[in-house]
Amino acid sequence: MSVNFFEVPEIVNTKRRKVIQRMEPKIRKSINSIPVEYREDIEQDIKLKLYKSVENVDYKDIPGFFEFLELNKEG
Amino acid sequence: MKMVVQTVYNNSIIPQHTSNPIIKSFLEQESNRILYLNLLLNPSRANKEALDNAFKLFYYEIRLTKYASTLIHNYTIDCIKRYRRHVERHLYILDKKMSDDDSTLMDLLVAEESSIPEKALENYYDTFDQCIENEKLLKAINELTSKQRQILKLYYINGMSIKNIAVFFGETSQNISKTHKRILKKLYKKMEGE
Repeated sequence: MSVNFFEVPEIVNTKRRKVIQRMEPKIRKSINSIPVEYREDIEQDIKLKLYKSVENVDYKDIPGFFEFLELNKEG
Repeated sequence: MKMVVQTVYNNSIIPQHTSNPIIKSFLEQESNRILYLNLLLNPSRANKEALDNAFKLFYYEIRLTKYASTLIHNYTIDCIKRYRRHVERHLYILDKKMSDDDSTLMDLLVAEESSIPEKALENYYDTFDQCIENEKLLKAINELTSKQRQILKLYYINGMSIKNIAVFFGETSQNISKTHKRILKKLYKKMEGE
C-alpha cells in the first residue's frame, strides 16, 4: 500500500523548511541596499511573511511523472 | 542490478525526455534515475507510484523555491518603500525642518565645539606623542615613512574612513587598505622583535 506523501504533514513541512533555509542568502542579498538600522527588522518581516505564505503553494494539482510528460508534450 | 541499470541508462532510453529541464534535473539524481529504470524494467503499479511520488515531491520543491524567490524579491521592494515612507513621515522632532531653509531644531541645540569636554580632549590628542604611552610603539611609528604615519594618524586619531583617506591621497581605497595592513604588520613585527 503506497502512501500519498502530501497527506503526511511532516514531509510537506520538512520540504518547506528546507526551501526557506536555502533562501536565507537570497534574503540577505536582497536587503543589502537598505540602511543598516532597518535591515534586521525587514529581514524578520520577510521571513515571517515567507513562513506564513508558503502554505499558499498548492500541491494538490502537481502532476505525476508521466502526467507531466504528457502535459509538456501538448504545450 | 546496478550493471543492468547502467546499461539501460547508457543505451539512452532516457534522453528522449531530457529536453525538458525539470525532467532532466529530476533524473540527474541517482535515486530518481533508479526509480525510473526500475519502472522500465519492471512495470508495476507500485513502481509507478514510487516514481510519481518522488517526482511530485521534487516538483513541489521547485514550486516552493520559485514562489519563495519571487516573494522575497517583491516583498523586499515593498518593505523598502514602506520604511522609506515611514521615515519620511515620522521624523524625530529635532530633525524636522523649521521653516523654509534647511536648518533643523537640532542645529539650534548643538553646542559649540569648545564647550564639549570630550571634543576638547579630542582636539588635544593630535599627534602620536600625545596619545601613545608605549615607548617601543612610539619609536616604531616614528621609524615609518611620513606617508605611512599620515595614514595611521588620519585613521586612528582623526577617525577618517579608509575611503576618505583614499580620496585625500587621490588613490584607490584598496590601495590604502593594503598599505594600512602592511603598516600594522610592520609595527607588529617590530614590537615582537625587540
